[in-house]
Amino acid sequence: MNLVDRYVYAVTKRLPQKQRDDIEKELKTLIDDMLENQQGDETIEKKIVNVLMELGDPELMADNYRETKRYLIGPDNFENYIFILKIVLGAVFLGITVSTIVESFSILQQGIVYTFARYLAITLSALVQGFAWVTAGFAIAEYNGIKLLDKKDIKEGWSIAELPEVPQKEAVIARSEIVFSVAFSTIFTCLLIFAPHIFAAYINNGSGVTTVIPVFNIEVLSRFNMLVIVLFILGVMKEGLKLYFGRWKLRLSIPIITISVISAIISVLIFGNPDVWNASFALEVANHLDFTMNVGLWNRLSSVVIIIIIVATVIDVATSFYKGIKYNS
Amino acid sequence: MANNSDALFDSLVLELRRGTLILSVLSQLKEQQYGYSLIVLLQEKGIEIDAGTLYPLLRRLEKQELLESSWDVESSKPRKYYKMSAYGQKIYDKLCKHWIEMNKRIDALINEKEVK
Repeated sequence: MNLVDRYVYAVTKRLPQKQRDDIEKELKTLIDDMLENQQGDETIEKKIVNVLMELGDPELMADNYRETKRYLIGPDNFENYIFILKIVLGAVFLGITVSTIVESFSILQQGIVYTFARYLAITLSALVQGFAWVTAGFAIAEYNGIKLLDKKDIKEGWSIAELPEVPQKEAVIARSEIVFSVAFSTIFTCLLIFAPHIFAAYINNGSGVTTVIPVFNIEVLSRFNMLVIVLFILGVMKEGLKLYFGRWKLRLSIPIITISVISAIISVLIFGNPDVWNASFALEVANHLDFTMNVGLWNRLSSVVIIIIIVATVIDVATSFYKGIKYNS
Repeated sequence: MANNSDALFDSLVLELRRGTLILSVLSQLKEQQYGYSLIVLLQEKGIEIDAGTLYPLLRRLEKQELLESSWDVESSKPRKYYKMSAYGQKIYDKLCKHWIEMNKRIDALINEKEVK
């Protein structure tokens, strides 16, 4: 009976937990019945094999039992997924390339072979991550978001009156806007994670020596890498939603606003933290340029950043809300 | 190429059969049957259906409330018996009418072609 158990297990392990017991009983009885019906004087082992072969591939059997198809990213979203993926991978490539070129001129003069090898390694790693995070974002959206958003659309019957109006020109969300947003946040994320030292003041004192003073405290910043990635995923989800709807309406504005607020909170957690910034940045710049500047302002930088984030978010939320209401026909 | 068109033919036949399976199954469930007895019954009447298709189909029809089921746990083997529900009977009658009507039309279409 070992083979029978293995067959039944091969079917039920692919099924939802709550159906398993029922289907297990059912299949075992079925196989038993089929065995009894096998005439001829073959050994029982041979008969079992015959019966199982007749039942066919357990994977197909499980597929038949499972009614709903399971997708990581469904057909509705697949086009958009590929579209965003192209932008992200393109932007990763662009971002890393540009930052490497900048670096090779100013920071690291460690020979072309080293620079090139490092460039390849970082590009590969960044492309893989970009791919993974975009896929994760879409998978999460597939699992929760889109389904929730669409519930209203799935109903019985359909009438001509339900055909949506062709949106006014102003209500349509331009693809170029989405491309720009995604590309920008990808490049920014890439740089923050793979080349944070590129955010720096480059001071040439005239004798050909360039002094580089980083804006961030890179070690502290790298502890926030995970949050930076979350920020990126949220950004991609936001643009993905815009792509999915293609036009402004209130049902789009609400998730967009939610994501904006969450993103703002995360941004404050990262960039509102005074330790993330290079504390001696202002002082060093002042020293190298031989003038005194108000170092106090730099020390209050994190508060300034928090205010900027809040103002930007308020503007973003207000615009989304306004457009959602105005074009909600 | 011949192999290819055989495969195509098979898949087309499968598609044709798929629609008729529900009708075949419902027709035999005026009396209660369990899965395997239904397979045998249909086989005797010339309709081949494999267990991997029938068992999930029975479940689906039950979920759609066309069938009712009960477990018989008294005999040595636990068996799940299915029977058409009152609602199922109503739907089945309608489906039959539809089927006959459809058959007539398709026949007309096919015969028209043969005359030419």
